[in-house]
Amino acid sequence: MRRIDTDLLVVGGGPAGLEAARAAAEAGIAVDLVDAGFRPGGQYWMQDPTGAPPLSAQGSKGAAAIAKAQATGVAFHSGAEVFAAFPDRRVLANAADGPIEFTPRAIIVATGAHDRAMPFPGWTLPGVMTPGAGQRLAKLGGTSAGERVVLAGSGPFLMAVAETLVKLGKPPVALIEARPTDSAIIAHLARHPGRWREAARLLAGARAIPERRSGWIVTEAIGSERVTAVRIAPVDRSGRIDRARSETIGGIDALLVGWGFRPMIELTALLRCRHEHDPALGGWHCVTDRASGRTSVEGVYAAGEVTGIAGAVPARLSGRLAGLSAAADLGADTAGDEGERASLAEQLARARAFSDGLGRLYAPPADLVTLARDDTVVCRCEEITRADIAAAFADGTDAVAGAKIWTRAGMGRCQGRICGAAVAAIAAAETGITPREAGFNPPRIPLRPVPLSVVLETTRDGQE
Amino acid sequence: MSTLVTIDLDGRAVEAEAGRPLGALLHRELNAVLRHTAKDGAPRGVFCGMGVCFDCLVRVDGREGVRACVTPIRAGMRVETVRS
Amino acid sequence: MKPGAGMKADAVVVGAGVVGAAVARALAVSGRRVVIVEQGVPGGAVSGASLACIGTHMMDEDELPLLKWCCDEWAAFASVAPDFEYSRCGQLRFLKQESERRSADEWIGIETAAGLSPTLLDPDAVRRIEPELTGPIHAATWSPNSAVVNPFLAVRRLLEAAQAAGATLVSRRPVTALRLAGGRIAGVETAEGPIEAGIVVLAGGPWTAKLAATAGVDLPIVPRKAQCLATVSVPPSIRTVVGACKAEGGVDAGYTQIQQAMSGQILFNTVLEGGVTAAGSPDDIPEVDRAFIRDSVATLLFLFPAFVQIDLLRSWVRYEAVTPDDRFLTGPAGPDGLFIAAGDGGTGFVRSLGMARIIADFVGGRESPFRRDLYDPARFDMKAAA
Repeated sequence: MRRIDTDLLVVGGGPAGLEAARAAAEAGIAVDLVDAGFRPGGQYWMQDPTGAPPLSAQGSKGAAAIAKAQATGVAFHSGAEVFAAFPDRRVLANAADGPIEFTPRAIIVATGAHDRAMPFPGWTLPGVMTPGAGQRLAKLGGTSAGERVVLAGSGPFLMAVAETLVKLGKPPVALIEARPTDSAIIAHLARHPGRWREAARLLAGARAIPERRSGWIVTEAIGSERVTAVRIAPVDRSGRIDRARSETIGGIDALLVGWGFRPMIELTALLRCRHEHDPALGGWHCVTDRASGRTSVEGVYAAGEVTGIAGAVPARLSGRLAGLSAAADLGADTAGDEGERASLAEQLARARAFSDGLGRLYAPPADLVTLARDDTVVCRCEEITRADIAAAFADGTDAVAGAKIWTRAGMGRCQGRICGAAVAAIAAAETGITPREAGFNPPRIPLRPVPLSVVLETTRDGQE
Repeated sequence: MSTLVTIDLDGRAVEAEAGRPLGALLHRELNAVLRHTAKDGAPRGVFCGMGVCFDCLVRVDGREGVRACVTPIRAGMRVETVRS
Repeated sequence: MKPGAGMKADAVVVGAGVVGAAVARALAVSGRRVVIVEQGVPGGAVSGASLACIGTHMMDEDELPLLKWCCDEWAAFASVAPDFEYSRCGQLRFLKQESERRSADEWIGIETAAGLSPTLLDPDAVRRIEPELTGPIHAATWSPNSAVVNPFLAVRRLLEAAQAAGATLVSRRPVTALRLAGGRIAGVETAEGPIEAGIVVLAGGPWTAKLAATAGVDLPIVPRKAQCLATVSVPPSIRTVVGACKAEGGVDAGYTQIQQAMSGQILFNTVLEGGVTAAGSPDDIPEVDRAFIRDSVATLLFLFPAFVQIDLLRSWVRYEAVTPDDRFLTGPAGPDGLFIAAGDGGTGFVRSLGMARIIADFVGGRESPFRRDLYDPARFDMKAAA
């Protein structure tokens, strides 16, 4: 096991983590950055794993940010997954070449987010994936999710995925968006002229898609060994699904469907930081002081999507703010930084106002949880159906925790990361509690399954 | 910059680009079906593509429960799928 | 109105862990209107963290009649209730060295005299029962009648049985205080209003003492940290409940328990001498500590070296309720109408049905088929007075 004693450990190599690491390193702080990805860059600034030069504007931005962070002396540890953290801030990560123990004086958590998936009939069929999976197959694997792809769900990210598929020469055959009216989006954009160019670029990509349905939703994926068709139905602004007008799109081999993102709060939760629930911010997220990135736990900072879904611009800004304030708290001379920090905080507030508004516009339809039928698997790991979960609630338990112990939903390898929001929604539907009251699966050590040999190696000489 | 290597996929030699995610290769090579589940015998493939969902599990060099989507392709790796 | 608010009942059971669920079932079956109030989710605290061994082996000599009765009751419940993964898999208690023989022989003698059939096995005989147990042990005791259950489902089935007999279950409703009227129990106060009842049974594990104190009753229950680890699901690899031979000094001298759940997950924990007394608040659950992880994994791999590449999936920590003599406090206490059933000592699962029987017998004015003075909540006061 490698032991790394450092001033600051940044967890996550996306825009927030890279900016945080660079800001702190520039202030003279020793910084290590640990990232689970093949290469740093995260999901927004994804880098080609073979080292090929970036093809997209975001990729180039990311390459520049990585180069800058490297130039300031940030030590990178890619392909390393954090699986444990202790109250003394000791952090354990597992990499292909063995485990690493970090003993930092401060931690910045910038773990990002993953696609929010919600169960519907057929969603476990091969070929049905999250939009993010489609993006990664293309950008990391050079592979299209399919020859005939349907892209569906909600959120501006669908446009980015459409753009990628168009570049790959496989434009989606249909885009099924449960999205707000154009006028609502235009009204929102009108208040943020700085975002027009990006919006125009993304909307241009969508023009290559032959069939585009707004105000429609995928209700079922059909197939035996792989998805071959998809059922769609109109969904109105109040979230009601009109199944009487259902249609089928056949002859497909992939369906990418997602409902925005979920903050990856496992590490901040393990570190006991305070969390709150807000649907417009992706549900449960880590609460921070926006001007400093400080969490409720001393020495632990958070930046980017883990503090509430907002996109790349706020991620970068909050990352730099967290890096600067962590450096200051660690004793770096940051006397000249007050002006920059004030300006960053102001920019961050503006950027968040834009994304919060977008988050509310693209909120998933209210009836989403009704898509899952009694026999639909909700917990993919343990293969627990909606009926299993509803029966537990009928027997007198409630909340995500109650469903977990009585049905095993959330007890498998993913530890409820994928099904947690759906189970909370089912709890709300069946027992009348709010999704917030339903809670989330509290993460425990290890955050990811890790071989017993590695566990032994990393705790063998451990002092308490 | 890319290097073509050979891996063993269920006893068959497959050429692939080193460093890219194994999940993407398997998605292409196995018509999206990476495994069958223990309880229902249901087919599963890549779902989240970023190591969160644990749906794309395969056996790699004898090790069980490896997520193909976050495993880089290496020369000579032995990949076995779990079928029911 | 939310369920439970402004309710009236014959009896309120506080706590829907295995003890509360068993008490609620026993009282409801005997015809009483019962409300079970749980501050979290049913079975989500101490019971859920239990490894739920149903057995008599190396437990407590004085409690053997009760333990035998409990084992029979569990078997009987398993034969009538929907599945809760009851499995009579037997129990091995391994000895690392010759010096542990005295303790093992003593227990075998005690249990044989009580009509049970434990034996001592050499390593080859152990491996015929538990083929993957290839580590260098000296010997093991074998208790073929021990069983395990899925603790979550067992609580669920007991609560289903209680509800089928008319009991009402209210989840996520913390009881804040006991209600008294004219010097006797009149019910409980909750965050969402009172529940009136002439009988209150406190089955709140480590939270029990705090609630009893609201009626002026002082109970010697302290919370003790209990930790456990689980691997991912693997094919069937462990058939029995594997534990360490009980050493002098009880739980404080350390323990090991290893078993495979029906889900395929291997559940295991090891605490070495002096590692178990850490007190704390049951309301603030910490993470497992590094020494515990190390000792648990090291012991598992000492016994089952082939498991070294299996993935660890999860850990958990709970506070169990401990009394000075490791026996439950079960029976009437303080004002008329107040009953206690708490103090699991980490092995409460098997004994829960017996504790429920004692409470139901007190409430119904019947004798019990085993000694209940062992569990008298006032026994320590009496000792102090003597």
